[in-house]
Amino acid sequence: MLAFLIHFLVMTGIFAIVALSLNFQVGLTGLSNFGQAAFMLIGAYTSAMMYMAGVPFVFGVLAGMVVSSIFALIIALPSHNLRADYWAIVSIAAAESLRLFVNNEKWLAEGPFGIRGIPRPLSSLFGDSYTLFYLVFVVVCLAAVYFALERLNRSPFGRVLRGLREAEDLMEALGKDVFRFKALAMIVGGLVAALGGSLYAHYITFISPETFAPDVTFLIWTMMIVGGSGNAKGVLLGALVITLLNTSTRLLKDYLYLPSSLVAALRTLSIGVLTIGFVVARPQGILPERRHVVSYGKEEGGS
Amino acid sequence: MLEINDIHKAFGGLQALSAVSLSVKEGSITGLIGPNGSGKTTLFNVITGFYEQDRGTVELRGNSIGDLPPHSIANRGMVRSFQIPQVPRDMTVMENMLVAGQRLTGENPLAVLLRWPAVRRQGKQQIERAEALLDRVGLLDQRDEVTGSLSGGQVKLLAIAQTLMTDADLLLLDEPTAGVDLALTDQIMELLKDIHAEGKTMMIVEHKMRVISGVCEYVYVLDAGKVIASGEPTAVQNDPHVIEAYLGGDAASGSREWE
Amino acid sequence: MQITQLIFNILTRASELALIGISLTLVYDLLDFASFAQNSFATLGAYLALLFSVGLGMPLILAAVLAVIITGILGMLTDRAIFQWLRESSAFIRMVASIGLAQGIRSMVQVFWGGQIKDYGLGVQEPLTILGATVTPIRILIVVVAGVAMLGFHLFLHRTNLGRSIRATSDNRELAEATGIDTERVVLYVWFLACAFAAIGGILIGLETQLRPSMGQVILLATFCVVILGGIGNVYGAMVGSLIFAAAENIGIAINIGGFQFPVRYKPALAFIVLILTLLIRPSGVLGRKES
Repeated sequence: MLAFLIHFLVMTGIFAIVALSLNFQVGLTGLSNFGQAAFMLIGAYTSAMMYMAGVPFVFGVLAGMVVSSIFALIIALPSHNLRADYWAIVSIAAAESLRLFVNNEKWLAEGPFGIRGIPRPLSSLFGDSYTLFYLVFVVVCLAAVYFALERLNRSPFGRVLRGLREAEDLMEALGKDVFRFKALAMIVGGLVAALGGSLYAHYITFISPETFAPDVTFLIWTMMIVGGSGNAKGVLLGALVITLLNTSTRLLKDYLYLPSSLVAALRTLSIGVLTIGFVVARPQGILPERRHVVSYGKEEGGS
Repeated sequence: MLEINDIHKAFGGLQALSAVSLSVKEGSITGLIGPNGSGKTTLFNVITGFYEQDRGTVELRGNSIGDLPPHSIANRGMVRSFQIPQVPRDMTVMENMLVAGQRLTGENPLAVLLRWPAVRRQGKQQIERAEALLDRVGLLDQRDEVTGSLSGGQVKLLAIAQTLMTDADLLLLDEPTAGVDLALTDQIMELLKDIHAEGKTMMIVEHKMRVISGVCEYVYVLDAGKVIASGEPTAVQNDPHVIEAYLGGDAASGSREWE
Repeated sequence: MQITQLIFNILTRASELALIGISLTLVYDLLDFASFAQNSFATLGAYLALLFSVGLGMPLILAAVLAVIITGILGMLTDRAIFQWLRESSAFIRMVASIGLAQGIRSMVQVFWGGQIKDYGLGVQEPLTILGATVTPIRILIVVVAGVAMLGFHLFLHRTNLGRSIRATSDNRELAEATGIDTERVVLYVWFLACAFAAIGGILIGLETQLRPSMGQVILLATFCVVILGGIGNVYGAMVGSLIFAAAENIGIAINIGGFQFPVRYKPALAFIVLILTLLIRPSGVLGRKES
């Protein structure tokens, strides 16, 4: 039971990190990025391959972040003045093309077979209680990401991003290079998602192109919409709720002896229904975005 | 200070601007009037880089800015407001002011994350400046309200305060009193005169003659994309071409615009 | 490759894409958002036809017609259930809702029919040779059905009252309202048409290849590409776009310049490349209106 709880919390933590990254790009800046799975893929593959080649874990993760930043630019460059629907299509197309590439080029990363047996860092040190250690590790990363992104949100940088959401022309007129800010938002979000991908790879120890299908992106989107786009605490809540939904349907499989493909389909169905439900009935999510009250000496966020 | 020469701009088959030339002297308040659809906002968009002209030049302090993007032009000290104000509805009034600050170290994410001292220092300065300006336009009490809850008139005042916040030397204001009641119009006119007295150069688009004659020193009149008259407000007001342009099409709406 | 074979391959591919492309364009044009759900309606239509033909023993043509009509009706129902509440929301919100809907439809198909590959049970077809091209009767049927559907649609738009109402609402909604057109009703009919067209497209794809729950979604990028290439908001654009795209795909694969060939396994990425090129060179598409 405890093992299950720890596993659940680790998964929640990892997905919460990716959801926060998406929130930064979508909730805050208003970029309709549907390629998040690709950033996770980059982080996962880069850190896995580098660690297995003997590079220290931290450097592998950082390398993943660097590669994801480049990918973020690739998406941002042709798209920067396009409408939201075009952004969605371009980002999905880019993500799928990347996934196709990794799938086809077997020399790169075993193609469709994926990478198995990804070693877990410091596993020899912790032996049986490794998952608990990993949970602490994930929570530390999550906290760091949360506070860093919140800091950015409340800063002048974050203000421009939020201004971009609805008043792009105004931002240009006030001297802000809109493309630069959009690109930076994509880069920051991208490298946080890559971190999430790395954490995933070294925990689950198996990744393949199939792992990072667009379904994962839609899952993260649902977390953000349900929890509250634009509100970091809300997004955390959304990650918790959706991961709960996901893991509980797995319990369903074990207790009701339903075939796993059916359970997977029911899971996707409930995600779809949840998304539609919230979009129609409560688009601001469970915890809506709060206004930012700025005062002397200390800038406070309202959330 | 601002020289505009022979601007042509067409959209599809429609010639929005033809051979438009005007100049704005440093320290002056220049007006641009014309009936609806005469191309005033189009000209503003061309000057500030939102549209690209088909032909013609735009020079700020002798430097050509005709092919620069809007943010570069704003960085050079020329800032505009919008006829229909774009307001980020979920941001507070104070945040709207702060975002208008220029050359802020805090807009660099690295500086924010690494806690460079300049970020905090500038933050304090900016807040003080913003509060002073908000007080001046009478919006200090609404400091922490989201802009979505402001009235139309308040939004107009905020837009003007924002342009002041940028500390730009040349302000282009697109219909600062549009849709605003009489009392507020007077208030805004006083504000504009004050700003002018402080040494700012301004160019104001309006179609209310009253505002133009009350505030501007020199006026250009635009009709169907061409400059049809220019001069001091009283001279222009009595120019027969101008009168015809305003009243020729539709007598009822024309005389209403005349105010 | 024989030129006639190339042309025929292009026509077949274009036929499949065009129908879903028209579906996308109709929703884009009258409801003003990018619907990610049309491809899933295509899948649904294909599976319903499977249900009626293989499952209930109806002749395939009847099953197909029934499936198309029912999918159209389901389209109207989703408007009543979901999108009518989002009329005032942003196009972005509607798009997100359509993504959720696409997920929902796909997973429902999977729940009811399972994930295994299925087909309409037509057996192996004897290919014919016409003008030097090797074609199967099925593929001829696909091109013919698509052609008839598009011709019929064209006549419908220009010769019927409803068609005129649709065109009027598409051009200028307020004006259409002002002239007495019940635009809400037009919207419902458009949903019917869009989902019916998608269903036809899905059935044709199922006829040519097989049925699997992801069949609509695998061509999601291609269909969006077709619509953007042809020009959003113009149903003829979808037809033109699908021809150009199918040509690019087939010619691109067939080209052999000094030993360099575009690898077949990267065919899906072609959509991405065409998309980026379109957006960089002419974002309004071939037949689209330039936004001022």
